[in-house]
Amino acid sequence: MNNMIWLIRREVWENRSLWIAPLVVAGVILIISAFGGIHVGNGNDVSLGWDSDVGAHMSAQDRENIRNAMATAPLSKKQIIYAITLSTFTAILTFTMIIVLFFYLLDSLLAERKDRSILFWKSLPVSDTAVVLSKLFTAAVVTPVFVLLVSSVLQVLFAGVWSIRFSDSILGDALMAWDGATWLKIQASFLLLLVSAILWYLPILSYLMVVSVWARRNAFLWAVLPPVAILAIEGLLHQSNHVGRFLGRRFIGMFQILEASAGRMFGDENEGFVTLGQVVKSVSAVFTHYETWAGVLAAAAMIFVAIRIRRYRDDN
Amino acid sequence: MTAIIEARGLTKSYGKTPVVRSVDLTVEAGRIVGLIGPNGAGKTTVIKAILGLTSFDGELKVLGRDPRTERDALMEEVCFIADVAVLPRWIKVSQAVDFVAGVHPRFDRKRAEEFLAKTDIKMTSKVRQLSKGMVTQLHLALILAIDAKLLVLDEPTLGLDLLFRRSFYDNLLNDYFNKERTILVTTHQVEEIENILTDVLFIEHGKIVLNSPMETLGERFAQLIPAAGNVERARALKPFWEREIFGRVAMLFDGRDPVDLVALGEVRAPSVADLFVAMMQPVGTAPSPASKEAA
Repeated sequence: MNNMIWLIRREVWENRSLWIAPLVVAGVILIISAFGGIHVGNGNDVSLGWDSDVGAHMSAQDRENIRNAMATAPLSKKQIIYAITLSTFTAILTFTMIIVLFFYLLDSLLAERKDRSILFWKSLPVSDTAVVLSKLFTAAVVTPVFVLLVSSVLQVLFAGVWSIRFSDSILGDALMAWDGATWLKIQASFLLLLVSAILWYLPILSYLMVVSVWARRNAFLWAVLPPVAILAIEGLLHQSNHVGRFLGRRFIGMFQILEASAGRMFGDENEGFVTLGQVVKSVSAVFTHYETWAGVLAAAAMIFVAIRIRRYRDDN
Repeated sequence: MTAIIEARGLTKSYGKTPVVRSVDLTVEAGRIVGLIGPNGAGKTTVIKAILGLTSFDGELKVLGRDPRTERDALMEEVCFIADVAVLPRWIKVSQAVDFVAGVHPRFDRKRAEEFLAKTDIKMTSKVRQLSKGMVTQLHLALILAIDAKLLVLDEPTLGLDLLFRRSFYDNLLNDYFNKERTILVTTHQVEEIENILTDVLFIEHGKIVLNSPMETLGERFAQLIPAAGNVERARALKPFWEREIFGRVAMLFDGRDPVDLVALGEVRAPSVADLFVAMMQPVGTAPSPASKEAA
């Protein structure tokens, strides 16, 4: 356990992009939300900037009407807009993380062989199992949890910026200034989603690690070309697409299961914002789905292979 | 007293090419053993087998354990510097010390820091900012602070300048070595380590061709420079190697009574380097005239 903590610390030392990239993206989002402006149409349809009040070109009567409409809009609608806005940031950070993790995992067991530092790591009383698991754990748990924390803080800061900047405009009316209960619900939902996503995507993470421990170089090509080649061969010889459907299911299957179980991700306009109970229900649909556990089994097998290869590989 | 390393019939092939052929080997505690051989003789393979870094056939016990199956436990008591400059280039000196202190139960952090304080290495530097010599010093600082029973060094000073090489072995002897510790070292620079070795092993084509404590080398081997006119008589005593140095002939004898030789000329104990060259190039194959290995 003690070794595990040091090994994870080592990963964070070595792969600073794991935490720098999300922080940079979060910083950029915050700066844009504070100082940025967007212009849609001819510059005066919707104009969003620090000094331009949104809808400033509208007549006083129009503005009053919109304000009234906003003021009387049901809370559930406002909550949905609020949740979607805040979740967008989590989505952007998650997308950043996926890119960073992809390259992290491809390099995770290759870089140490390229610079021969594996001979140093192997001179210490740390098992290959611990090393491989520490890298998997860094990718599957440490980094996503960190990104979730960053996104939580970003949401709070964004809400602050937003309420100051647009307190006296239509946008300020449209978006709730701060809704702690909804914010907490978002965090809880993403945490639950994360747990199911870890299980669902574990085989993809493990696959990248196997490629990393096996390839001598060009891990990216080794990871991407074989599936693409198999897809192409199947398409050419069989005019079918079983492999493509299989892989596609692994990429988006979790969301299909979630949706089948819960309907709309953010709830229905008429029924109101999705409740935590609904999130739990749809996430448990992932937990209880056989494909989730088939994937976990496949991942376990691949990780076992990766450990064996790192242990017994003899690059002469 | 159990042996630190015990090999019986240690064999290893890459594909159909045998690189280690049935090596028998015993290393007792408290020895400094030099494993010496030309490139491709199998030195590194023997060392990899001892460290559990490669598969092999035959029997091999290191500290009573099988390196194939008990590597993780073995690494608590065995240290190695496999090559110069294998420390990860991204790591900071302080991180390297922290990490080893974190994972190694036998690491003495104070010792490592004291050693580093004597060098020009800054704790805040990254390995990539250090010179090759400094990287080796850092590696040595980490290794010397580990209370290991066996230290394996594979060409630890390759590519370093003379000053670093000299201080490397000085530090090893003064700060590390004692009766409970055993060192196995391979190197090309035989001359530099022959004074610190207690035992010497020659390996050629995957076979051990000489295995002797240093103190008995002088009893077994002798170098004779016959006086003028005695060359033919000396040859009659069957030297296993001879060469010409500055017009004089030097011969090496294995197991001859020194009394026989003294009568013929100047006798002395051969250096390990001389023996190495002689045993790797037996009579008839030696390039002539004299090589640069003049004693």
